Amino acid sequence: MTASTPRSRERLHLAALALLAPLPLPLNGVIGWTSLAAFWLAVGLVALRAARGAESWLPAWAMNLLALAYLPFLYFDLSTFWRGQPLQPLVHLAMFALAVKLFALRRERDKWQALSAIFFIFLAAMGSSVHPAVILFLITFLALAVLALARFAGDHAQGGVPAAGRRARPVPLAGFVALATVLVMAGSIPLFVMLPRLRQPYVMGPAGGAGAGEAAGFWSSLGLNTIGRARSSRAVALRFVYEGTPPPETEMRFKAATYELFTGDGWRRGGRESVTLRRELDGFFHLGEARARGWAEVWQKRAGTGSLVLPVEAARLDLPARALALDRGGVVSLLGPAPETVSYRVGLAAAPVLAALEPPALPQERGRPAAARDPSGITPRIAALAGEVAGEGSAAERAARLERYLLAGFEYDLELGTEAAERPIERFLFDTRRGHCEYFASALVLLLRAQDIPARLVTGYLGADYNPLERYYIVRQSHAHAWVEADLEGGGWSVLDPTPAAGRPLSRAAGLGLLLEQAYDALIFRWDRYVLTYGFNDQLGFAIGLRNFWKDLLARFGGGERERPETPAAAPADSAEPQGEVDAPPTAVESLRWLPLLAPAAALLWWLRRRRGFDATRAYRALRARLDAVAPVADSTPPLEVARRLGRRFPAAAAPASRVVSLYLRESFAGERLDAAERERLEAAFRQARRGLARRLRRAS
Amino acid sequence: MSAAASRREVSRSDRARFERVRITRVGVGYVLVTLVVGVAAANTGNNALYLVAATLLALLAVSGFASRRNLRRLEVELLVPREIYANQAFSLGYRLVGRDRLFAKRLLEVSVGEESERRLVSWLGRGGEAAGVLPALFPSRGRRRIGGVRVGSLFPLGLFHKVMRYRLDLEVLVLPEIYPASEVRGLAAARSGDRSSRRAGRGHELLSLRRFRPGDDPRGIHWKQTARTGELIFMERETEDARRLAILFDNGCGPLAGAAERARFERLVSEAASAADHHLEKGYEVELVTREGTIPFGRGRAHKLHLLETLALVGPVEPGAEPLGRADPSAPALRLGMPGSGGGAGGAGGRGAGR
Repeated sequence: MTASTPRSRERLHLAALALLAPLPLPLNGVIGWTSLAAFWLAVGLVALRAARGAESWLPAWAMNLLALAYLPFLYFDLSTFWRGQPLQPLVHLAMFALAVKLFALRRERDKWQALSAIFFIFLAAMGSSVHPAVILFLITFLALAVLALARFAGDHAQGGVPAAGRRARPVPLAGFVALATVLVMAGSIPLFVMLPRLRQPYVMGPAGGAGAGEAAGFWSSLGLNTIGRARSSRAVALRFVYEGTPPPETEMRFKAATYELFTGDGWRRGGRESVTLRRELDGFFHLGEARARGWAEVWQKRAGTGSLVLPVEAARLDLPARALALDRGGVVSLLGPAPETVSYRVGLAAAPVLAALEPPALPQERGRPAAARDPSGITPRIAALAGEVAGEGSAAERAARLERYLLAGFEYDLELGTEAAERPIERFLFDTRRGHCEYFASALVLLLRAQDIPARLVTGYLGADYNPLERYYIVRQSHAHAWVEADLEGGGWSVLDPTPAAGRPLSRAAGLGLLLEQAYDALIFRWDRYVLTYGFNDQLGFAIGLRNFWKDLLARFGGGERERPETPAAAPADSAEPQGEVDAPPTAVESLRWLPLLAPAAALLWWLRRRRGFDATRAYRALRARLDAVAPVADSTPPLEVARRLGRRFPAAAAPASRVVSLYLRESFAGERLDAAERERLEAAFRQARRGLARRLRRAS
Repeated sequence: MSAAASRREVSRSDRARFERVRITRVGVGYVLVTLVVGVAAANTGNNALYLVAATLLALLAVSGFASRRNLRRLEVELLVPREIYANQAFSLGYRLVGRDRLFAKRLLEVSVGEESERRLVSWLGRGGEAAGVLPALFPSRGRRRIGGVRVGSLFPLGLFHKVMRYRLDLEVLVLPEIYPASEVRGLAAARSGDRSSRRAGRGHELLSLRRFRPGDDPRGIHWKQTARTGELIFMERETEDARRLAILFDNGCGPLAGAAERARFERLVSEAASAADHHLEKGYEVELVTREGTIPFGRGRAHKLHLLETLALVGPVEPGAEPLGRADPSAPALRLGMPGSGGGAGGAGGRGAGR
């Protein structure tokens, strides 16, 4: 089964591209699999008919009828536009138009219209993709597109110019396509690095297989088994790397959300009043008074609450945002919608900071937020137990006794299923005495509140896997954890963790599986780090690195003094805080970002508008184009024949057209330059010929 | 076109240079799409779109590299015919040899003039050869330069049409345009007007039938007429010397003013060349007389080329006081001249001007 005619070949090439282009869209959640299956069915039918050399295709009236039939569907489809999915109706429309166009491919421009629709679908698929597998999609599409364009060019050339010898067969292109694909992909890497970044990196679409936010379940409410379920997942929540030496004995505890209201079988967040945090003079967001001893760079997947998952020691935050929100629970969030991957730097203090963090602009009722004293869930048995265990003393002493009570007398168990029971916490405390971290933390919160100590449940992550391949830490959903923050008079809000050590997240044992997982994660990390979140600061760092490398090279061979690197990552951990010049307000350097984009645009504009000198070639081409408009002229038609045809069709223009052609032949064919007088005559003849053409055309119309 | 009757010229890549790059409609669309994707990427900060924009740009660069390489490293050979007439299509033979050790050549369009007829060589393997002919045409007589062979291509993606010129620096002499004999006005009159001057001799053409005289060659007896009339009839043949034509081309008309004058002069040159060509083909001896000199009576291919080459280069000169001289005043003469030429037009076949 082979396509015999160029038109059949065109259809096959277009069908192959059309089949491939929308492949990532259902995976990205832009369209459903049903829509794609219907589209594939239609395009597959086109391909099959084209391969069989079918000659009857859709007439124009049927195409118009189908367009009308699609209108009601488009109307309903557009309703999704207002539900925050603007791409879906557009992609549906493009797919429908493409399928119909492939059935009705007749003229040359139909081919290019179909190709435009394919490219739009491809662009939507690429733009909504975040998984590194999209590179394979890009390479495949590129190879098919190069093959199609080269074949189209070949067919065009073979159709317009007589072939030497016998009729030419399709030109062999396999080797060229393979080599071109490799070269293009290699060439696109430096271009990707250098293209001007005017905005912060924006990543859309769902996480590439991570599903961080959903798995963690850090939403406005939390079931008692949510964390337990999340810990069965190995999906990545965030990655971080220490700039310099990691701080010793760090716990690696990351705070994501706080919950104040107990609902009987879970938790809800209390009032979400928040204040706006702004950059300080040093360019950073300050989360406390403590000084940062070291810095870490974090790449976080989107969390369900939209909050930033920060190490509890975070004291400074370096984030490309104008402002942030800080709520009563000491949780920092982005003001706008959270991107799929957000990257930021945190300055780490020696001790936890976030627990004690309170919104500075809220009324200073320290330790007395109503939600943190909510008595829901405190039954008489729990109150009695709290009094019995806590005994007498300060809030800190009583809290410590309650924490030790849970740590010592209860067992950690990931077995789920008690959530449905009535009064699950009471059951945990008095009957089963087994549970996972949410039960321990929930029980401690209720016990503390029974002792009139304000407390809240905190969810986040504890611990991380170290990836030796890339020297960074990975925090996975299996590190999800729940603990308690209590407002201890005199001590402020403090972290209490009643979960026994056996129940705390552990790193996975070493082995081949772990190595493979680390290798895969390194790939994902590189993708996130160097592709999805690559931005202007990276370009700046790259440029500085290049400059340093060059200087270093010169110093090495020239004998000069080698300069210290100036990359932000090279700042020593124990030095004074690095200054935030990278994120300083826009400077003249930043305003130069526009130049690389404007320069080619200006060059193109100049090229399009430049005045070309009037010559016989232009005059001849203009006349030929006029003739071509009324009677098609093949590329191979010789000039004298063009002049003869012009004379026959436009007698008034015959003589001047003949003069133009004669001068043109002298200029182009014989290689003679026209002198000034001849140029004048050329212009006069050309004007006269145009008048003759216009007269005839007016009469015809 | 035989090899003996042609000149062979070879050009290699070291004598080639890019002559023109023209962006096609597909190329314009491609550039616009690249710009749109680039702006969309910059506006959204979506790095996946940056990836697409970078790929589009890289493809543009690879396409440029491939098209350049496709046109380079060729050896071009051109075979030019010995006789080229103005306004008359002729064939130029060409041969392309791929000298690229790495890449094959594709979709090569070969031409000599910018818009002269092109021929497509779809595929030229590494070290391969392709040969063919190019229909070509020079519109006017005189010395003309074939600057080189143009090799263009849309390969690989049809975004740009690039043309490379393989230089030859070849000069050819374009002979005057040859009209059909019927279009050379005055030619018949010139010949009939001089019929009385024909003489008997040993040629091939019949001059007259007459009674046999003593001394006549008996082989000349026309037996049929003899039988019919009962008398010996002798076939008198025309002498070969009598098949002569003198072309008196008076180019002493001074500088030509305006295109009309020039066109008229060119017409006269072509008529002179046509007359010479037709008569030489018929075995006549032809003499060409101009203000610049005389080419005496002669016949044959070499004489014809001599005459036509002279006519190919003839131009207007200052008017002369004397009429044009003739070597054989008895021979028929075709007089061609512009009105007001110094010597004027005279003789039986003399004409004032072309049409």
